[in-house]
Order: sequence, then structure tokens, then C-alpha cells
Amino acid sequence: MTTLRDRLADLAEEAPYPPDAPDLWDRGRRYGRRRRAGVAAVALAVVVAVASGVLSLVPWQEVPVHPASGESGLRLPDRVYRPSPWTPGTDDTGPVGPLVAVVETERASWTGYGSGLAAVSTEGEYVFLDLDDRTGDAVGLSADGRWLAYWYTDPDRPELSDGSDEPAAAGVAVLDTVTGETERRPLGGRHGVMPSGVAWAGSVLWAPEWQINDPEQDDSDGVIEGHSTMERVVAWDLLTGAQTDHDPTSVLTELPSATSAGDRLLILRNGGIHLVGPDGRRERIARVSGQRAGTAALDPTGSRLADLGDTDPMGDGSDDVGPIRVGRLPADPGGRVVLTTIDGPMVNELVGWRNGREVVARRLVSGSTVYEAVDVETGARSTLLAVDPELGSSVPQLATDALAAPVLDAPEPPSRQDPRLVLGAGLGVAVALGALGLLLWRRRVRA
Amino acid sequence: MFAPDRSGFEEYVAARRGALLRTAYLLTGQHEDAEDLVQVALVKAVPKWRRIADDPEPYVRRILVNENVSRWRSRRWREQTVEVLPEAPSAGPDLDDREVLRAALLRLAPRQRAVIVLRYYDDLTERQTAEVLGIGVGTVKSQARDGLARLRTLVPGVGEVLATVEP
Repeated sequence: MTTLRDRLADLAEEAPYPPDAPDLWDRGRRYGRRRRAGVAAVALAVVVAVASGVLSLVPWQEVPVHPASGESGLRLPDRVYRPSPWTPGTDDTGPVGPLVAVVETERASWTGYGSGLAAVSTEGEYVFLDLDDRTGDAVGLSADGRWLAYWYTDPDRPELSDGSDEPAAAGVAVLDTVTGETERRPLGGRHGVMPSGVAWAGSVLWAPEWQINDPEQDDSDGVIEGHSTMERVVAWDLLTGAQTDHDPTSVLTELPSATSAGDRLLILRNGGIHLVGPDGRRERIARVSGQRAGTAALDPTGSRLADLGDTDPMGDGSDDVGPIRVGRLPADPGGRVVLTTIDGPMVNELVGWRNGREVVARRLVSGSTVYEAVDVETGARSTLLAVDPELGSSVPQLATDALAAPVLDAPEPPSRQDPRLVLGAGLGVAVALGALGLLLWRRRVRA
Repeated sequence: MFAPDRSGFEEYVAARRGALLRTAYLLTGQHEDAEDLVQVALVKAVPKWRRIADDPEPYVRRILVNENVSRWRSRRWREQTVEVLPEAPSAGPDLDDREVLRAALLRLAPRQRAVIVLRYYDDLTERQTAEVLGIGVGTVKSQARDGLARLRTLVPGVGEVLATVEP
């Protein structure tokens, strides 16, 4: 009987006679090279895919800051945090204005750590302002948070210097925090301007031009820091673009302590309380006696004045703290304001009026900065805003309109990993996976 | 045992190519496919030759079978089912028997066909067959049983022939 094997062997006899194929070995070698190249390409693709996946998950790439809206109403955050040094900048997020506050804090980059100006949006979100040509620390946020003034320099002008390490300013710039556009006004002479405090009154920016003189030489031919002279005070209306120059010998020498009262500046000088308009016209509204420890502010109705009392009347008025004083303005501009001290702890700064009855004051509580609403009738105090102790000595600069705004339960800004570490970890994981894949592949080949 | 170099490979090819072609013909049922299948299996064996030169046959058989299964799968999507096989029987009783068996083998699933060919033509044990195909011994047994049952229905009079086979 024929077996299945016999039947299969019989059928197999039909198989073709094997032709010569002398190139099998060479074809096999080429096939092996192609296969190894393919495996390497796939491994590389996997590594790249894994690395890309890891990098796409890192938090620093997220830019969760909401776009700007020119119609956003201000809200006062109940807390100003220290944002992550890796918080994105406006170059990445676009404009986020109007701003509620700005604060100087640590900012990181791929090359190291430095200082940056963080902005707080009306949503309580944080973003660093990319002001690439900024010099000096002085900045000024307009009352409505729409404009931010800063001093800018020009790297192509090495003569912009007073002999110190920090370059002098080529002029004053204003960033529109809603549109992101920046306008610049050149100031100063050959050596530029020394950055100093600016003031806002409505849409008008008041900027002092402290022009730097030629640096002096000492006996050993070393350069010593140059002196600067206040040449003028510039009033720049951002709405009209009009610029008015004012004589610096007037009450405007008190510009650093000036506050805004509507579209005019409130300046106290030589016992007089003055309102100064952008055209330079000065109006004395009352007289006041004694020294004060800080700035003064008019209430929204213009009928009451608040300031900080001087605890060292024989001193120079540079005390760190003082009591809050309030007085009603007399009907007669020649009359004198009688200031009454409000009971309670002394404060570091009178920030402004929240409404017709409350002022906002900044003081230190257990080493932490808080902004309090103080009822000038009863002396009652309530905390409006707490500053993250991690901000150290940095004091937020608030948009003064926000003092009257509703309080926002401010969200904590997200923590962000150092992208250099994340990238390193990602590459490490990718290399480890690649090495593991290579090891498995070689084991498989040996099997 | 062959030398782990080109000479050893060529010696193996010269010695075993005919046998591989016969196995490949039973797997494919086509002359050209069988030649192509053997060439591909041998080419793919070259990169591993240094490591398999001691006993190359299982590795080459594994490539042969797997390559045939892969080709069958890729062809399923391109070919149309026909009632009559393209290579019609010639004449004569022996040719008729061969053709019937060839056609019957082609009606089996490729892995089932491989089990039948490896077990009953190449005389591999169930374990060796399982190793070549990369499947379990139990699967080899069930595939052999099912394949034989199918052959009984496809090949007239093969019942007596297959009666000599212990699945």
C-alpha cells in the first residue's frame, strides 16, 4: 500500500531542477546590510518619537496664558505669587494686558538665571514681559494697566554710559500691554539718560530727563561715574502723542513722590498741595505743614488727603514706616489741611484710595508684605492682597485702578520644570530605550 | 556541519538545494514560486550563516515556511478565487494522481499544508515541526489531524492511503 509519504515524494519529483545561483552569498550579504540599516532607521525613529513625546509633555511648553482683551476689567488678585522662573514670556504668549501688577523676580533662561519683570493679568495669570532693550529697574504701570513705561537702551551706542556697569538709557519707552506695541521717545545727550522713577496721570507719562554728563577722569586716568543733570521733565500723552517739555526747577523736582489725581499730578512741596496738569499749569489746592514719610493721595472725590506721618520729625523723612493720616481739604486754597492719625499699626506705603472711605496701605506682617484696606472713619483693616514671601524684597507695582476693583481669588501659577533637566531626562530615557532595543536586537540575532 | 564562511554556505546550497526545492514545491505547488522561495530563504540565511553553519537546516526550513505563509497572506488580497486551478492535469494515471494531490494540498491553509509536508514528507517529529513553525506541539497535532481529514475528502481513494498514517 502506498503511504502518504510516498504520494508526497512522488509529487515532489515534479519539483524543478535547481539552477545555478552563484550570487546567493553576495545577495545575502547585501540583504543583511539593508536589514541592519532598516533596523537602525527604525530604532532611530523610535528614539526620536520617544524623545519628541517626552518633550511634548513637559510643562514649560504649555503657554496657558489667555490672550489679551482690551475690554477686560481690572480685578485685584488676593495674592501675588512668585511665578516659576520658567514662566513663558510675551514673545511666546503675545500681549496679555491690561495688567493688574508687575513685579521684579527671578527669570531663567537656557543659559542661566537673571531678573525679569513678571506681569499679572486680569485673570491672575503670570507672564514675563520680554523687554529686550530695557535698562534700569524703574518702570511705571499706568492706572488702568494699559501702558507700561520703562527706560530703554541701545546696544549699538556704547557711549550710553555713566561709567557704571549698567548701560544708560537712550530714552523712555511705553509698552501697550494690550496690543504689544512699543513706542520710544529718545532722551538725553551723547551719554544718554540715567533711569529714574516715572509717574502716570491718566494717559500722560511724566518722565524726568536726568542727562548724563561727560564721565570724569580721576588722577590715575580711570573713569569715574559721570554726574547727571535734570534737564527737563517730559509729559508724553499716549493718546494724542503730544509731548510737552517742562522746566525741572518747578514743583516737578518732587516728581518721584508725585501721585496721580485724575489726569493731573498731586505734588506736595514747600507746604503746598499742588495739582499739575500736562501743560504744566499748577494749582495750589491747600496748605499742609510738617513732614511726611511717603507719598500722599487724594480720594476719588478730591475732598480728602491721606499721607504717612513722619515718626522722626527731626530726621530727613526717609523713615521706612509711618502712621496713616487723613485730612479734609479746606474750601479755601489758602487754608490748611489738618491731618488726623488713624489708629492702628504703622505702614510702609500709602498706595492710594480704594473708595471714598478706604485707603490701601502696604505693610509687613510677620515678614510678609500685605496690602490692607483701611477704613479711615473706623480704622478697621482687612487684607486685600498678600504677597508671596518667596518674592523677598520685591514689591509689586499695582495698577492703581485695580485698588478699587473687585478682589479675585487668584489661582496659583503652575510650577514648571527646568526644561534643561527635562530635555536631559528625555534624552536619557531615549538613549536608555535605544540601548535596550539594541541589546534585545543583538540578543535576538545571537539566538 | 559546514564552514562558517562562503565556502561552507555554497557547499550547503549544493548539497541541499534540491531537497529544499522539493519541499518548497510541495508548499507552493508552483515551479517558479518554489524556486523563488528557496532563493529567498537561502539569501536570508546568509546574514546568520556564521551562527547557523553547524546546523542550518532548521533555520532555512523556518524561513521557507514563514516566507510561504507571508506570501500567501499578501496574495489573498490580490488574487481572485477560481473554480479551476491554473495548471490543469495533463494525461496519464500517475500525472492525474499527482495533480489531484497537488490541488488538494493547495486547498489546505498554508500552515496546515506546512505541517503535512514537514511531518509526512520531511519526516520531522512533532516537536521538530513545532520548532520550525514556531507553534506548540499540540497545535501541530491538531493541524495534522485536520489536514489529513481534509485531504481524505479532497483526494478520491486516499482514505486507504492515509489509513497508514498515524496523525
